[in-house]
Amino acid sequence: MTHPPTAPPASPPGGQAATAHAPWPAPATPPAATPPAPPEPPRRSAFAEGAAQLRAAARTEPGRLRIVGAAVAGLLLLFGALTFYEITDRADAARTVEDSSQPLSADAAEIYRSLADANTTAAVGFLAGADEDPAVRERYERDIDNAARLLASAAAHSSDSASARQYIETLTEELPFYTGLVETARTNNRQGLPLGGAYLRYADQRMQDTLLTAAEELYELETRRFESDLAQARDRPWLALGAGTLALAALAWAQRRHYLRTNRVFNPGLVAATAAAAVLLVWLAGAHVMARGALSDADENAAQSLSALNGAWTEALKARGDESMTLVTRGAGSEFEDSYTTHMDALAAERGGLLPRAGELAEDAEGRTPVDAAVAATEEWQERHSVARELETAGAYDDAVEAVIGVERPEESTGESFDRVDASLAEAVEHEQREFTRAAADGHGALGGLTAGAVLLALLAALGTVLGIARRLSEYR
Amino acid sequence: MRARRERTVPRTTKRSRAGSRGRSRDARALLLAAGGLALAGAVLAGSLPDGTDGHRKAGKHAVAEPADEHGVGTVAERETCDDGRDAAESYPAERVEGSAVEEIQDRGQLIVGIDQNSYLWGYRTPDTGEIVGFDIDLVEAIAEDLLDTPDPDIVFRAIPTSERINALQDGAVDMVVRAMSITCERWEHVAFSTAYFETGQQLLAPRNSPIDGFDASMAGQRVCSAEGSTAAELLARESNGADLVTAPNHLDCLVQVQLGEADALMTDAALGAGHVAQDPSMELIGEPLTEESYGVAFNAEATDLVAWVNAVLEDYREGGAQSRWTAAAEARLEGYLYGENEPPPSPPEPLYRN
Repeated sequence: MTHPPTAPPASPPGGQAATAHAPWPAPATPPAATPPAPPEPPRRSAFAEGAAQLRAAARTEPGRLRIVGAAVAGLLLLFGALTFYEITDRADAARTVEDSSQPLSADAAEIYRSLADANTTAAVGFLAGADEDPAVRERYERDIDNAARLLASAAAHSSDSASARQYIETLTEELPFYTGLVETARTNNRQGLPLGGAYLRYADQRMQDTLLTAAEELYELETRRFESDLAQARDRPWLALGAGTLALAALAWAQRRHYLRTNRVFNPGLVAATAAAAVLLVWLAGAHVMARGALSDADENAAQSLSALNGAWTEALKARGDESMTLVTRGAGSEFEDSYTTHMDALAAERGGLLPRAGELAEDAEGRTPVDAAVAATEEWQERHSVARELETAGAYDDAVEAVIGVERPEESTGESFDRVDASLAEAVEHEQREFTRAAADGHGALGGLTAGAVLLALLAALGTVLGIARRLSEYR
Repeated sequence: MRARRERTVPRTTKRSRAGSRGRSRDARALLLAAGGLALAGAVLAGSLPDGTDGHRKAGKHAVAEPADEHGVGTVAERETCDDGRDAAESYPAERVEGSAVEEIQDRGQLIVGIDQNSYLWGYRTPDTGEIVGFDIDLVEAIAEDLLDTPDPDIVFRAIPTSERINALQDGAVDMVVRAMSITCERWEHVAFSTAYFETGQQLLAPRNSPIDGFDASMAGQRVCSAEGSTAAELLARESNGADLVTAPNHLDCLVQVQLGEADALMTDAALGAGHVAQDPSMELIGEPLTEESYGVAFNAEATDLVAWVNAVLEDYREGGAQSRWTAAAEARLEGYLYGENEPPPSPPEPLYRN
């Protein structure tokens, strides 16, 4: 209800609105004023007042006509106002989903991915030692830059909830600390000191415990918010639909009454009012059904696909991180290997795995192709991983490192498989993101013009009613 | 810890630092006889050449002196177990092919638990990723002998301090060569070889730290040690009011000190020397608090393997200045645990159970 011109007609109870609009003077006003329009809910008071007026003016037909006209015009204006109000609300929610809350959720997912990838890349660089490929360093830099840029943007645009701000603050504060730790690790490594490895472990722990936790919470928060916006946009405009039905019913009754009293079938004013109100009701119902359909499409197809794909991507990154950390720690224990298995299962298990689920959710070939590619790359990754793992348990540590980071033969490493999973998922996410944006824009677009139409048609209908009744009244002069 | 342990920790000397310098100097003179102190002195002398403090110089001179296990009125004394044996006593050296030895020989591969974070002792060189150090040199000698080849197949498994005993018990590794102190309590779970190095627990803090000894100056300070280490046990028994922090590895403690998340750390002087070498703003504080020996640890059942490795250690120590032990010390420890141009310390004398 932000639009001032239409708001006033909607708020006062029907009786008063009728008097304000009625082109005729004094006669009806005294009886109308007797019950001084108490501040009750619009519809009830319209009827209550109508009843009072009916009692007061029951003896004269003009009085009754004025009451009927006021009530019907009031209902029509209420219909228009409610339509304006509810559709503005739904359209705002749809626009928020499209322009702000879904992109924020996508950005939060990307922040998480950039951080996790940076951390894994740092571990791979450590494993490679002095042979570190400049591309590895560049990838780390790119990840950090990307995370920092998205964080700055999230700080500027994020939903204004205190917890979102809290997470962004934590991330913004911790990121330079993390990069500082990684740089200290590098410096020590270059001096040949094992202290570098200890710094890297510390940095990894910090990343897992603080940064990635905050990024995950932020993603979940923004996703919940976007889902609630989406639900709000899809919420049916029940009040407006109810008011519209009621207004049409009132018009029908008024016309039947008119017919019974005068034997005349048509009153042009009332017919025009009926037509305008019916158009508005059909438009309202139709537009919202279309918007709802498009938004459901955005939700059930694109958004759920996105959620599965983002989840799969996260699991892939975690599995890759564990795979590298197994070698970094060079341990006798199987802590990281167990964690790798858990994440790999969450990613690829035939039952309940996120990749198979994303495959099921993919709507079209364009969406399915990259998911299939990711599935194939994951299978290859798992095979290569078991080879690397066998090498490691057999004590061929250097060969295991080679099989994981692929300095000599990059095309045969698990890293290469992971990169393909990564790239395929990026493609799939991009596709679903486009689908989502398109569907959300459709949904938003379906509601376009309806608010202006509601104001115009309701005013037309009210005017028609007033003119129609005035014409009848003139017959009593 | 059920073992009887006499640790007349130097409350008198440390607490009255300002009041009784003379007395503490006397005490220090006595302490010089103790092997552990000798080592600590060497550490300081070697790693902090600019140190002008009295006891640092004294320590330097003491390096070559043979360790006296039964020093009088010392800070630290060797541990004697409940049955009256010295903790460092091991099974007599002999090469007998029992089941444990055969298993390794059949496999053709030795799986060793090591540390990749102990500078000078066992660490990963960041540029090549290779594991090197004094402990690793010993592992190579053992593997060459056991597998009877100059180029043995060795699998290094890095294990956290707290997992050393578990890894041996569940057979994940054949032996642990990881700067592991021989203690009576550990003898109840695993077996040890004869001693291959002597050291003692010591505090390590930044130079500007208010901590000046194992005493009340530690109160309110955060002191870090590795989980499951002798240092952690010692601090748990007597914290002197310090807040205790633990980390998976003693090197993680150095990270915490550097980042200001801990104020000091405790480890043994030999590993501490590695810390000072990596961060010269750190210094070893006071005297070693214990007198401990490093030994190779085994599954308690693998007595044949212990005896075999003891025989390898006999050869390793043999030959005075030409021994492999001395060569390893010169390659790994010179300039850190003792001065650049000084003779290396002597290997500890092996003690055997009768």
